[in-house]
Amino acid sequence: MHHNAEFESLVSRYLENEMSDLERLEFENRLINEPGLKEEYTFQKDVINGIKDHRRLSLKNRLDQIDPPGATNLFNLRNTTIVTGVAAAVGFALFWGADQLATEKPDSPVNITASNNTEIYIPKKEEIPAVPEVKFESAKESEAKTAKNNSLPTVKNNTTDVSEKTEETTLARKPEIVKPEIMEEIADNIPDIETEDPGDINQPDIEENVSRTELEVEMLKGNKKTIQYKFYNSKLYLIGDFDESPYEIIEYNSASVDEPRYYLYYYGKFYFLNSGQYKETPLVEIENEALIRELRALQRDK
Amino acid sequence: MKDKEILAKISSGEESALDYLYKKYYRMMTNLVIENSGSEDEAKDIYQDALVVFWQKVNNGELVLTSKISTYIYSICLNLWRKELGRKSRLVHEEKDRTDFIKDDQEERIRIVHECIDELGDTCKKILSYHYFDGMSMTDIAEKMGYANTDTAKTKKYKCKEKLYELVRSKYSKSDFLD
Repeated sequence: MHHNAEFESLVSRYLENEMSDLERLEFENRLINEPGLKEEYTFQKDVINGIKDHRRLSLKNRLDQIDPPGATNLFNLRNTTIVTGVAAAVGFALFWGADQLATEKPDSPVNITASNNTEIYIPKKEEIPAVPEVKFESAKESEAKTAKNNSLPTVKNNTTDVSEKTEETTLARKPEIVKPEIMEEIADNIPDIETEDPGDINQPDIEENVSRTELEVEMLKGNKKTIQYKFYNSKLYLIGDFDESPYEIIEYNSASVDEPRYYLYYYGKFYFLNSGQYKETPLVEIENEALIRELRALQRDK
Repeated sequence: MKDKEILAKISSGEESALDYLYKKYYRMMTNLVIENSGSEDEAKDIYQDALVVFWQKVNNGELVLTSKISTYIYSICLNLWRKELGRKSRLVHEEKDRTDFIKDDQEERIRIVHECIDELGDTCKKILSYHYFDGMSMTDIAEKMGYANTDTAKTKKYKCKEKLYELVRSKYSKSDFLD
């Protein structure tokens, strides 16, 4: 488009209310007769409306990441104190295309000592809430099944039924034990909550954590331009025109809450997946930089 | 938190006050929509929009609160939901092709502007949002951003706006809808 410095200045003064009544009247008359001026006016209006819209959406996104009363309250950041050496565990499921799912779960009580001597406790199986029963097998049996399935041990087709799923779980690699380095990195990446801008409402609290990944995912073709998602019967549905690019579901567990929190990583961006979302809804991009840093750190160290 | 405290926090740009309101009145406000032919998603959307409107009105000094905050937000929800019902009803009767065409064009413009805003630094994003959305005065912006005086804030705002214009112009010229 053509750029005229005089028009730009005029329009700017008009939109910023810097003109006298007479000047405004004169400007409005010129607007009718001069297409170039009209074009500049439309342009500046577009940009200002865009700024307003951007801020509006950013505030809405912030609210959207709050679990309203009645829904599952996954994280409560405000009362969280972050200390060095806190523990976290994250279950990752990596997908290519569709219909593959990895499941992991600790199968025995484990005590790990972090490098700074902070003891991290992963509770016994029976202490983990709402986790389907898992049959345990010897390493030999697992290897045999792995070979039979001829696939990555943690990857399964999500169309299989529950009994198959729990059996597959036993084929998973040894229980995920969170390395102390991860904890340190997370702790390092978390800004001081007391002094940080409150925009970090979606940052999860990190206390004692338990790793367990039970989420099933199904891809559906959709007719909308944007990718939508919903949870139904503990299953995540991603609806939209996914190409062959890999995407990643990050499951974040915290011992202080009952339910895991899910994030989608796709084309370089993170999206929040509200597990209480039963109707199709567009993905909500995460803008909180502290949380993005944390998720990236977890991705690197998974 | 009392209404007065909430208003003070919102006026000083504390977004946590918005979170507090969101949780406090969630059921009350969403029920208003749900009980009037709205879905849960629509109710949530309307309530979020209402809070954003409330935020904007408090910050740009338009609000003279003569009732409780909840009553005021309730009335915003009611108005927004009425408008939405009207819009939905009109959509059924309008010529779809024409509106879709205009909508696509507008959406493309908005998409480009949003893309360019994302390319700006945080300081520019904040200054421009505070000025154009929150309606804050340059004096308040200077104070909030920790600038020595109002003139510094004005200069910063001017430079940020110019930078954004430049970015949008370069992307607009690559699109064909203005040529």
